Amino acid sequence: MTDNILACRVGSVELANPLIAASGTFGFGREAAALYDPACWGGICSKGLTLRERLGNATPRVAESACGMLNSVGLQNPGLAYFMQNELPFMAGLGPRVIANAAGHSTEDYLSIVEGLAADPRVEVIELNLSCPNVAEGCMSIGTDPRQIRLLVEQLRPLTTKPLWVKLTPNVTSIATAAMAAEAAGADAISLVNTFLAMRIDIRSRRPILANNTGGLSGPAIKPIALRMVHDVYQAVKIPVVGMGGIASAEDVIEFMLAGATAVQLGTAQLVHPYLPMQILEELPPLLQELGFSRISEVTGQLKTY
Amino acid sequence: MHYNGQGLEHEAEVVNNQQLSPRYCRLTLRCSSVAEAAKPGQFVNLLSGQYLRRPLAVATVDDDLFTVGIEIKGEGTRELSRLAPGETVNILGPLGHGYTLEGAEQLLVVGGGTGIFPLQHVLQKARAAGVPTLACFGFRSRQESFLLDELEEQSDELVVTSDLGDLGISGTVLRGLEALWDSGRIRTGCRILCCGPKPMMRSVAAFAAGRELACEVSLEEHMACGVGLCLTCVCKTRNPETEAGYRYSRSCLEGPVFAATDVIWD
Ligand SMILES: Cc1cc2nc3c(=O)[nH]c(=O)nc-3n(C[C@H](O)[C@H](O)[C@H](O)COP(=O)(O)OP(=O)(O)OC[C@H]3O[C@@H](n4cnc5c(N)ncnc54)[C@H](O)[C@@H]3O)c2cc1C
Ligand SMILES: Cc1cc2nc3c(=O)[nH]c(=O)nc-3n(C[C@H](O)[C@H](O)[C@H](O)COP(=O)(O)O)c2cc1C
Ligand code: FES
Repeated sequence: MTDNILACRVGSVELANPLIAASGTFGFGREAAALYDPACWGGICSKGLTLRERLGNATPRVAESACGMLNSVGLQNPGLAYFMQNELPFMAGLGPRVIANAAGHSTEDYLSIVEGLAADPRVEVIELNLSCPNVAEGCMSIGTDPRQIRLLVEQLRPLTTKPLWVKLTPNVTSIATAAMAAEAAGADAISLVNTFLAMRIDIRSRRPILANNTGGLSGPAIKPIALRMVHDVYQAVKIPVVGMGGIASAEDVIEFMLAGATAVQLGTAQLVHPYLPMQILEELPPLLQELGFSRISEVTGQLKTY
Repeated sequence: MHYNGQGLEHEAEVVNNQQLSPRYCRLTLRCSSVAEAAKPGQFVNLLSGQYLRRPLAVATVDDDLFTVGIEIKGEGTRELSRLAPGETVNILGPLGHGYTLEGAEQLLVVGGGTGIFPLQHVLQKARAAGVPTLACFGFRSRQESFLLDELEEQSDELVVTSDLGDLGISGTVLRGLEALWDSGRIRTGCRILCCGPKPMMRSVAAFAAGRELACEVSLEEHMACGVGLCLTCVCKTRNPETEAGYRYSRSCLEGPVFAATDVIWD
């Protein structure tokens, strides 16, 4: 077997490389599979899943901004049962680790979804979305309150032995406090960040560009803030950190890993450049060599702060 | 950012940039895979200096060249309109689900503004397939009209309308359609293919429904990816499976072209 210098592990989860397709920017893998072989990814996250089908928010759902975009999709997804029957088999056949992103409107919702996902061996990781800014209940309203994070994750933890990653919202004063709450409740890893609650206005119509009025900002515009938050969380918890927010190059991957990420997710940048994961994977080995690392797992947390 | 185009991603060479009217121009791009594969109604997604790509319809194809027509709206289209011959532009395409040309005894293309561009491609392919065409194109005024000679040449029969009344029939494309209908030139088995502003497509869809003609429309929604990944570009389409009676379909993948009867206009 050849030595794979890009291999890494998030707790018990072994990845062929640190690149994971971010939830909501990859569907269930079918669209990417029409463009290239998605086996190149280390892992792939499903679109946020709710118990029942959600049609999603009114349009426009996207607004551009400098170096990024706002979205207000509103968790459009076919619901858990449809996913298990029609999308999961396909996702599981692609090769990368399969991560199911679970979103709820209430504690009961989360309990049922996690129970459902836990029952199927093809789901390898459950990523709890406590951070979607585009729906009225659940999600971000839980993720902004460390006490609620802890209560919820404590109830979900006994339902599954699968790795449980808690995905945090950056729309808080202290992301470290939120991460510690998730860790204390038994989370296996923290993924961050979800999008920043944001707004754009059409000055001529005097109306918000998004029909939902507000949306979540993503892309390179948020990278420095996301990076600082990954750094904060890495220092605050012992469990692994999966970093994301504006990653668009091999250098960005290294930056997030230096700050403490053991793996990273790629979202918005691969919406604009769908073949980006392949390019990054090509550029990582020579970059590692240039930086004096023999394998990517060595990079995590090697930041030397002043 | 530099990386090698793969699959649907191409570095297309700008071969020509032609001013069509004060606000419109047309780029001729060299890219054999798009020129060969594009179906009428499909689009390409172009990088400009802005963050997101800009979708533009494939307008005409010729050997390894294709054209896109651009109306300058904001920064992205302004930057694209300034591309000079010899420069390259990063594109993804061809993308989306286009018009149905097969099985029609006659095609009637109806468009206004930038909607005329994808319909040029329909006219080209219909002629190659030997399907008779009628075209009805609307402009604001003679001054803002473009490509009249080319459109005349591409269609078997062309009707032009103008809002200001100084070119062709006075009024909207609906006046033109009524004139065509009254003169009996629209045959049974004719299919209407439409692209233009939403209110126009809506009224053309109603015209078609009233006369039991098949009709397809091309919707313009704001897009982030253009390849089906993000669910931002959706439009409401009829769907009896859901309680609400509709679902949101992706205009970049299931569309931009939809059967007019599937679209919920609101
Ligand atoms: C399938 C499809 C085919 C199209 N074909 C053509 C064509 O052949 N010729 C042409 O001139 N235009 C076409 N358009 C519209 C064109 O994409 C927009 O005018 C352009 O994106 C505006 O960008 P901007 O930066 O100039 O304007 P801005 O208003 O500054 O753009 C801001 C954001 O809104 C988006 N946006 C604004 N208007 C539209 C619109 N009408 N449709 C979609 N996104 C929009 C932009 O892409 C960008 O993300 C098409 C659109 C779609 C969806
Ligand atoms: C269009 C879109 C849809 C998203 N949907 C989800 C979702 O369903 N669940 C989720 O946890 N995050 C969702 N996100 C957030 C991303 O997974 C990611 O956390 C965020 O965009 C930051 O990373 P990026 O800058 O690389 O995109 C979505 C982001 C975008 C742009
Ligand atoms: S633009 Fe992303 S799904 Fe259509």
